[in-house]
Amino acid sequence: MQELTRIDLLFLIALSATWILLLYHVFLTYGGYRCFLRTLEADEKSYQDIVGNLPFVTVLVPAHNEEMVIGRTVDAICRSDYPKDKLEVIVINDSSTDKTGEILEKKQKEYSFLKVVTLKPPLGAKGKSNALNNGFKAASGEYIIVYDADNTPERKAIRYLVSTIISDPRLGAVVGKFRTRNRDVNLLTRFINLETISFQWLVQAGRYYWFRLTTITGTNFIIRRDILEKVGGWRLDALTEDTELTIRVYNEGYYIKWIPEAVTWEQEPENLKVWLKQRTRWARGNMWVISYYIRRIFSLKRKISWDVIYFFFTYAIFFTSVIISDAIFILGITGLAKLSITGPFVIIWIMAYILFIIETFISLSLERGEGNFENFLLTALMYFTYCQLWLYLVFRAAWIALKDKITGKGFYWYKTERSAR
Amino acid sequence: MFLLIWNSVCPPVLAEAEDETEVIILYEEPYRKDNQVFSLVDALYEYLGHFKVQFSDLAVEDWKSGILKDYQVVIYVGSRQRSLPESMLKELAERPAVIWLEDNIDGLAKFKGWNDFVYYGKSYYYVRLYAGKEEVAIDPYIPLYLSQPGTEAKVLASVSNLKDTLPLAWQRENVFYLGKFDFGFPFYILLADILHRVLPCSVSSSYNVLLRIEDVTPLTDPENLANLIDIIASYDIPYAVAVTPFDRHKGKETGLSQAKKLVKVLRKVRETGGFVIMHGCYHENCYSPETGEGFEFWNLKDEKPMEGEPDFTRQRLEKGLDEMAKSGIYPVAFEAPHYAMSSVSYRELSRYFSTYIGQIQLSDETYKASLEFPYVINSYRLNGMKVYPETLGYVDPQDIMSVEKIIQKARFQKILPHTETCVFYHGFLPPEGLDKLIKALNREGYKFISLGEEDFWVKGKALRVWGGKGIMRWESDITPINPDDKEPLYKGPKVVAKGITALALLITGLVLFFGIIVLNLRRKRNRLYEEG
Repeated sequence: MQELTRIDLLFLIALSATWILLLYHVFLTYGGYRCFLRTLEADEKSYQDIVGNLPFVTVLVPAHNEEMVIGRTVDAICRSDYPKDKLEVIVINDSSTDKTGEILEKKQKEYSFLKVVTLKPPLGAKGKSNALNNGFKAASGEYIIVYDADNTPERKAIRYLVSTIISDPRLGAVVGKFRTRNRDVNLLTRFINLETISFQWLVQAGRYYWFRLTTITGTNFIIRRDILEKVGGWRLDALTEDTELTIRVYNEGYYIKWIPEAVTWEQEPENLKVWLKQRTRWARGNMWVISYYIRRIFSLKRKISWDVIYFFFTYAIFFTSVIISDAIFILGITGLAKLSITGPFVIIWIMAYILFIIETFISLSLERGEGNFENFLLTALMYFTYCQLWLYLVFRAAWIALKDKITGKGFYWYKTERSAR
Repeated sequence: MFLLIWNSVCPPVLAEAEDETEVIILYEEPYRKDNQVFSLVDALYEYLGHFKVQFSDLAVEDWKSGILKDYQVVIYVGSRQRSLPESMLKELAERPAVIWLEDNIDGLAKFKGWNDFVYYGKSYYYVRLYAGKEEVAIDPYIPLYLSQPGTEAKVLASVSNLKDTLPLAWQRENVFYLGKFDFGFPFYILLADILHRVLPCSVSSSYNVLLRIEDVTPLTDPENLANLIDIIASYDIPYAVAVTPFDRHKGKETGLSQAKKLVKVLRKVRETGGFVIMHGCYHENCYSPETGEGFEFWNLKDEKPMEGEPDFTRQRLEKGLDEMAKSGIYPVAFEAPHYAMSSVSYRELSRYFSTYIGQIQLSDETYKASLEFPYVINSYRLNGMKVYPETLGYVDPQDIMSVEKIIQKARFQKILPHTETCVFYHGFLPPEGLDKLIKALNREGYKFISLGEEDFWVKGKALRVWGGKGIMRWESDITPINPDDKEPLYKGPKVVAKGITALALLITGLVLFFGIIVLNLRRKRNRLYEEG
């Protein structure tokens, strides 16, 4: 039997790690599909039964220079079919220097249940967590709902969130679905649309179906007031405060549910620069959360600790594996190092590609109007373009994080720039 | 008739001797002051390995009266100036032949009573050397021991400083003199010439060259090699191919048997009159790790033999032979990468191969003490191995004068009654230069020789090769591969292959399953819309 060289071994390890993750995603896809079948069976009658006993809820909307979108967001939230006497909307005007304040003043005249909390430096402009914590101080609802400033939730969204969370006392939070409002603007937004659908049906719905695990996505979710009080609100030092909050909710012994019925439409980045900034923040934030909790993995409750490990696997091992196999491929082409083992690696790679397309396409098929031929072709293209950008992004984020660690520099919250769409 | 011609070309003084001629090397100092690793005596031993002679050596200090009387030939190495005792000069003068190298010849001349003899001693600034019909340029800054040996002397070679011409090599009575004892070109040819004039030699008179294609490794382009072989075959001349059976590059090892196209080409070598030389095993080691360029049996980094000799050498020889056997390519001789090997490795090598190609490393302290010689020898240092010399070098594609330089050397070598030499051409070079080289050597009257004419043997654990007179036989415990076999789909450990197959099956299943899900979803969706 031929001996394996070190390069061979490295390649096989990378290949195995990649495939473990790919197969796990197959498993999640199936979970998402089952989750979808379950929603087909659900009915709306239960809402009618409880409508008399609905609790008082507060909607928090942090806004920092959001003049482009805030008016529409407030309109959409206030248009909700949730009983207005049980609804309080608080927009946190976080040190805006544009017309956000003026617009909100106007809207306040329109909606009596709209409150505005204005933060000024030095109190404000310290990121989303700070804004939410300040909004939370003014909130009187039994449950807290959060929307980003660029969201337009559907009318039924709030009542779906509320009716779900009051149905089970062990539910700490309920997360709804977000869709891309500006998906048809360009190729990037089309890709983002595919990504958000497949992320939610695969990672959110799939994980929820199999393990009752869901990540709070930062918008369109409801959480119990007492949990927020217990955990001390949002963490100021986390760039992805939502992921971090998720871990603490689970660690308090609650679980989180993902429901596709509560829908919000949000605006996604329309150019690469904005996209890169926003996603780098996510990646850095998630890396921070992972590295923070992976060191404390044994003090976490078991269920969520597995999820932290899964994310660790995704960020650390999966991306490293992909880079290793790419590097080996390039070394092979340039003749610097060659694998001594050969095999149908091209076929395996094509299979991974087919698997990716079909996984994504299943997720798309779960969404009305998205499972079409155009999206099928887009998915095929996405593998070579958008997905590769993610690779770049994760390493960029890791690099920045490393640099900051060395220089001791803190993070800065880059606000996502909006367009008027 | 034959004898007559033979004598006229090469009339050795002792050709008629019935017993084997006894030669003694009488030396002043075995090393030059400026080169303490190159033994002049050891080098002479190798040169004597060409002749049917017995030889020994003696330092002048150890000379005792009467000791030289047992020898027909004395080679006196005058590497230091001194005046020799009368009684020694008497003994020397009485020998049938004395070969005198460099200094102190004036003493002997005086003893012999050569009144017209003038000795100039160490001289510089001579720029041209004439021998036979040939002339070459020489370095004006090297010292020559010059004399005017008198009218009775026969001049064998002379030098000129563009004003005066003086004999550098000459014969007077039983004394053969050479005023420059050096193993670099062109002086070693003068030495070989004098040795041939004195010592018995059974080789017929001709100019022979062994053409070899060098540095064929498993990564050599088989098509290019096939082109080179086609060119040689078109001249219908014998040749040799030096093959390194393994390539190791950045941790990855490729054996010759994996290079199936190349194996197919190499198997045609025998059919076209060629023989294969094993050129090391990897052509690299950990101190110069560059396959095809590195040293293998020498630690280049620290200028010393490899650790673990001779086991290291044995393992590599065995491994190389096994791989060649596996490829069905059978070598008849060995050539060490860069001709570098220690005496311990040479001894080990001589258990495996009868025949060696290349220069001889005379020292265990540096590979640079490398010896060239213009004929085949039975090497003292290589434990009696037959060694084909390497003097003409190779065609360098960067140098447009490359072939001309080779020819200049080859031409000068023709002052000898007969000569053997090697020239090589790299297996990765385009064929044009090879054609030019063969044509040029043909014009010079060189005959291309085959390694298979003389007896040879190779003895590995699993492979034995032997033969002579153009025939090669072998016996191998290793079944050679069939180069026409298809490459297996998987190469590597079986468990990896199984894993990959299982994965492929699983994914096929999953893709089908997911396909069904998508269809099912479409059906459900349609129903849902209708209901909605």
